[in-house]
Amino acid sequence: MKIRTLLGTLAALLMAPAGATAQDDYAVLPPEAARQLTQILQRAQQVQGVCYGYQFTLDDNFEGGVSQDVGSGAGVGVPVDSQAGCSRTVRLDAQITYTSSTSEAEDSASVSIDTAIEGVNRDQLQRLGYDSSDLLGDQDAQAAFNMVAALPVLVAEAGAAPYVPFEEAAQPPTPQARASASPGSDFVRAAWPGLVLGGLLVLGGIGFFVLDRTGMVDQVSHRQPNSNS
Amino acid sequence: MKRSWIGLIAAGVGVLVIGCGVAAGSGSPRAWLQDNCRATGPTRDANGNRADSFTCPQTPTRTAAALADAHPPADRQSGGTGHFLRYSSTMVGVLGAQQGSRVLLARERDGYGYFFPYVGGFWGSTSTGGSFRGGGPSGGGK
Repeated sequence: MKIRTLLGTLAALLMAPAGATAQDDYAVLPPEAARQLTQILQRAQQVQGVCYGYQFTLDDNFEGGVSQDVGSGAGVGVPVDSQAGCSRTVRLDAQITYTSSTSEAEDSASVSIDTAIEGVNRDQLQRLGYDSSDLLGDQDAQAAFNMVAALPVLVAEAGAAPYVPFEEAAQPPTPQARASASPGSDFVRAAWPGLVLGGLLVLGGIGFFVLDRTGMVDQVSHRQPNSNS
Repeated sequence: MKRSWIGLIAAGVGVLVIGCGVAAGSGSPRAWLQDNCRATGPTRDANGNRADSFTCPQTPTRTAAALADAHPPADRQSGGTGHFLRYSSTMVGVLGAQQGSRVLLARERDGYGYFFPYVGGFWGSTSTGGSFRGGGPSGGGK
C-alpha cells in the first residue's frame, strides 16, 4: 500500500510541469495593494536609509504546494536581501499553513520580524492589534499590508531613523473614490461584551429567583434522579 | 440565607456589569484626545479636507494602541508614516512627530480624502472604484 502511494506521488511529480508545486496565482496582496505597499517601503527607504521587505510563505496542504509572496522597496517580487547597498534591513516574515479538510490540525499562521535593529519586534504589531491569526481570515490582505506598512513607524520609534513625513494626496481622489458604508455604532462595539454578559446575568438571576420562589427548582432537582433510574 | 437570593445577587452583579459596559461605550475618540492630548487647532490639506489637530506625548504606536483600547475602532490601518483608526463617523490619523505624536481627527468624508494615500482602497474604493479587501487562496483553509 505504501509502495503504491509512493509510486503515485512520484508519477504525479514527474507528470507535473516544472514549478507546478508552487501556486503561481497565489498572492496575499492584490497587485494594486502590493504596488502601493512597495511604494510606501521605497519612500521609507529614501527617508530612513533602511531597506524594507516582506516574505509571506504559504504552505497549502488543501490544494498542495508551497509558494511565496515577496516584495520590498525595490518592487513587487524583489526580495529585500537582493538589494545592493542596504546596510540595514527589516523584513516581515510570515508563515501561513492551510491544512487539508481531512486533517485534524487547524490552519495556522506565524509572524516574525527579521532585523538587527534593536527595539523592533512583533510585540509592537500585536500592541497595534495586528495578530498573525488575521492572516487566516477574510481580511488577510489588509492584515498583511498593515504589518508591513507599520515597520517604518516602529523603526522610527526605536530611534533608528526619522519618521517618514505624512504626505497628502497629490490631487483630490476621483468621485469613484468613496469611503465604504458606516462601520456601525462605536457604542455597541465598545459596550457589547458588558451588555451581553450583564444581560445574561440579569435574566438568569431573575429567572432563578422566580423559579426557586415557585418551587420549580426543587421539582426539577427531585425529578432528576428519577429520570436517570 | 435563602437560596432564591442567589438569583437576585446574580441579577445585581449583572446590572453592575451592564453599567461597566455602558461606561466603556460612552465617550468618543474626540473626548479621549481632548483628555490625553493637547489640541492645536484645525488644519486643512491642499484639497480642502479639514481635520482637528492634536499633539500627544506618546509615540504613534502607543497613542494609537491606547486610543484603540479605550475606543475600539471598526478598522485600523498602518501606512509607513503612522497609524489610522476608523470610527462610525470619524477617522483618526496618528502620525510621527519630533516629540510624541501628531494626531489628526476628521469627519468621515474629510478623513477619507485627507488620509486617502494610506487608507484608500481599504476603507472604501480607490480612484478607479476598486477595493483592496479580501484575497487569499480560493477554497483553502477551514
